[in-house]
Amino acid sequence: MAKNKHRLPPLKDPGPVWASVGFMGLGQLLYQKQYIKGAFFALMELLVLINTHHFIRGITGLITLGDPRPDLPLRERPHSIFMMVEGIIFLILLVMFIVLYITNVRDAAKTQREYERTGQYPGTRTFVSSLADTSFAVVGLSPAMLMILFFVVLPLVFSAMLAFTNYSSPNNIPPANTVDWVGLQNFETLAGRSLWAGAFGRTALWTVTWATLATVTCYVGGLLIALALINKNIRFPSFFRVVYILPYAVPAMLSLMVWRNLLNGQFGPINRMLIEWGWISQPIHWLSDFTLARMSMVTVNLWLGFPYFMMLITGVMTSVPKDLYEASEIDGANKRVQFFKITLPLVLYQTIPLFIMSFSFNLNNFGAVYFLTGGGPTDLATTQSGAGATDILMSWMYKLTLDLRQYNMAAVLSILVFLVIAPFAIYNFSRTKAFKEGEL
Amino acid sequence: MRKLLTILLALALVLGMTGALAQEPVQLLIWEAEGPELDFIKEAAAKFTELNPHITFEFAGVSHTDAVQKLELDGPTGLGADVFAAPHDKLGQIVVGQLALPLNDGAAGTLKEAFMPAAQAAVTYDGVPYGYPTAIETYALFYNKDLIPEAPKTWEEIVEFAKTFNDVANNKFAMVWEVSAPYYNYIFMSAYGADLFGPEGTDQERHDINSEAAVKGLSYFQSLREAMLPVKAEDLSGSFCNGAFTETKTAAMFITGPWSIDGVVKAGVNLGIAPIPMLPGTEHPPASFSGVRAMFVSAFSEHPEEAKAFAEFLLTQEMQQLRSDVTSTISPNTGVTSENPFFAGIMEQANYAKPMPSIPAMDGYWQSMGPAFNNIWNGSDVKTELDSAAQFVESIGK
Repeated sequence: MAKNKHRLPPLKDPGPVWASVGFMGLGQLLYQKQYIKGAFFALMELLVLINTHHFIRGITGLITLGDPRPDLPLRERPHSIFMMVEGIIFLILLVMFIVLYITNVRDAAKTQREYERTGQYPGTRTFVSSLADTSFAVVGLSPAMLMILFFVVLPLVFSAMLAFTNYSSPNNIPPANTVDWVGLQNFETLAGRSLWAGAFGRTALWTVTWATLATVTCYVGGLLIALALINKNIRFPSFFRVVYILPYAVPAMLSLMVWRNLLNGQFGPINRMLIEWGWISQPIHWLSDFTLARMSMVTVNLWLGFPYFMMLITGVMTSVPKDLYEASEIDGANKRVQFFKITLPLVLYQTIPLFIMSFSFNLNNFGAVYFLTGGGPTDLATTQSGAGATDILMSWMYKLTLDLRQYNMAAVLSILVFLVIAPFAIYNFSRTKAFKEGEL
Repeated sequence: MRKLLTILLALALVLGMTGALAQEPVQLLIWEAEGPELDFIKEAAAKFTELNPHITFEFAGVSHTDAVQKLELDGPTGLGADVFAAPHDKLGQIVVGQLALPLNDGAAGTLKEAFMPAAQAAVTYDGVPYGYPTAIETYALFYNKDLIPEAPKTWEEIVEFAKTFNDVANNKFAMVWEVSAPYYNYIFMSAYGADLFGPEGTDQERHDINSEAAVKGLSYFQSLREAMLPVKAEDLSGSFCNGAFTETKTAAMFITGPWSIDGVVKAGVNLGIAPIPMLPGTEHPPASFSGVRAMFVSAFSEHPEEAKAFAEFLLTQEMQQLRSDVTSTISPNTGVTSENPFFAGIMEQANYAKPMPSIPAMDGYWQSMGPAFNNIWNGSDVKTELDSAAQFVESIGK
């Protein structure tokens, strides 16, 4: 009980507590007349005891990842990856059991103290009302916690663990062969393959640059269009709004592939048109020049992404109370001041969380790379590592995983990606006002 | 007496029926790529069920290039196919992962008697046949007879022809092809004798990627950009090359394979197909990659005998003929005749073709040589690029 800073006097009769330490629920059942609670605890311990061999098999499986058994037919061989997932599941169950065990002992102590203070044990009704009352948060959130444990924590732990194995083609793909733990060897390999290390630095830098540029351009673009459309001098604003939302309504994958063709240096309609008009004499290498390809990517992404922020910001602007503007006009504020002192702060305040989400999304915006440039243009470093000029970490990892089946190296990269992205995300989230004030 | 006979007859009937019922119904799952290939396999399966009523089929549209990887994941969970289609270059992965069962002696005999040697070699690993070949293909020189009446025999002739034919501003080119595809551009490595992974395509140590022969061939490849196709590699994507040859008809020649024939002919091109032109100083067309497509019986199958029986059924001349007609592909069964007038040119090139190596180190070739061809075409140093690619392939093969 963290609330009680001062030390409590020792219990007069710690017997029931020791009983609960020995076997879950025993103290509650035998001494404290807490039948429902006690039965629940005892049942849990029984369940675990009955399944002990499963726990042992699961967790040893996680440690050994199976011995190679080339003598067995394929479908009967130990499958390291399944063993790993199973082991993690049992590990999570074990942790849950330990937490429950501690809760059980604490509960026995708490009940005993209550008894020594009042002279009687709390009845079933008190227990039920306390469930609905003080422990409501725990009861209400536990299904969600379970979901998070198995659908979020489990895959995350699994993919992080892969970084410490040799799960890769050609010699360690189950079920024919087993996977083994190799410690930090993959990280050493990455550092040792100086070519890869260089490619990683370049790609990581471009990933952050790309995410920043892509998010800022779309946000500012959307803001400008929203401002223009809300202006009373613009006629048919809803018509324009519909036109501008169109890029967002077409599947991005299709648009990206169309853009890829439009921007083709030799055959693409854009260059052909510019040459025909006499504006240029040589084709512009939209997608085959290092810097230009990156700029093309950001520009095409702007075309795809601004409608989202336009709609969002339009919505926010219309909800700004009119009297703010009237009051400021009386005080002599002009349009410019109104924009910077009223509109912009209110819009920013409400849309920054979405701005940050968009930033995180762009860090992993696989589609924009894969369908527009395919990672190209290439240079010597691409021959050496697979990472092209416009490849972001995510698309590079995709190549490593799917084309080369180097799952272990991809896992190492994903840990490094996490280390790159996490500080941004945490800093942004913790600094955002909307999140701070959302606290209970 | 008559009564007794009736009873006996009835008994015999019942016994007979239980005998028939003893063949428990079996359902096989087939993975084949969507399109005419899937249409064919459905037709073949229907014929097979007519002969063996207890065996029925289920189908899933799985691309033959994805099937092996999908089976690695789905097989152990029991969700994998019993029979699946895959290109022969996945054979290494299949054997190392032990994903497919070898052919029975009967099927192996059929393979030996009735199929082209190239197809046999392509589905055999360490002397054991694993695949049931259904089609063979390689690329060749496609030319538009309206633009160039005779197919050139050498690249020098093409360069000469380009001097009068090319009009860069209007996208008119003597010849186009996907210059960054490791699949097509292997011809420039093989021309002077770089033999990827040795004659059998299984020697991991002998990749020949940065051999002198490869450097010589690729230096010539690099010179072609100035000489006949001044376009950056990124812009010569498959779809634009195809468009220039097929739709706008501004390219006189194109390197592609039999899968393009239908589209090209339908678009009204006066098509001719010839072997790949010779490089300077060589005596015959360079080796192209040939691909054999085959069906495999999954090692995870719960009904391996039924699955094998069906796969063997696909090797019969009747089924091979049907497949060749339905999918308009070349059957590796020597008994099959084709009315398609274009297959001759491809078959001629097939004489010089090398089955794509199927060892796992090929993953490294595909990944690193794409950028390498791309960079060399755009002007990078040939030797440096090939050394890097070789280093990459070595690191993947281990």
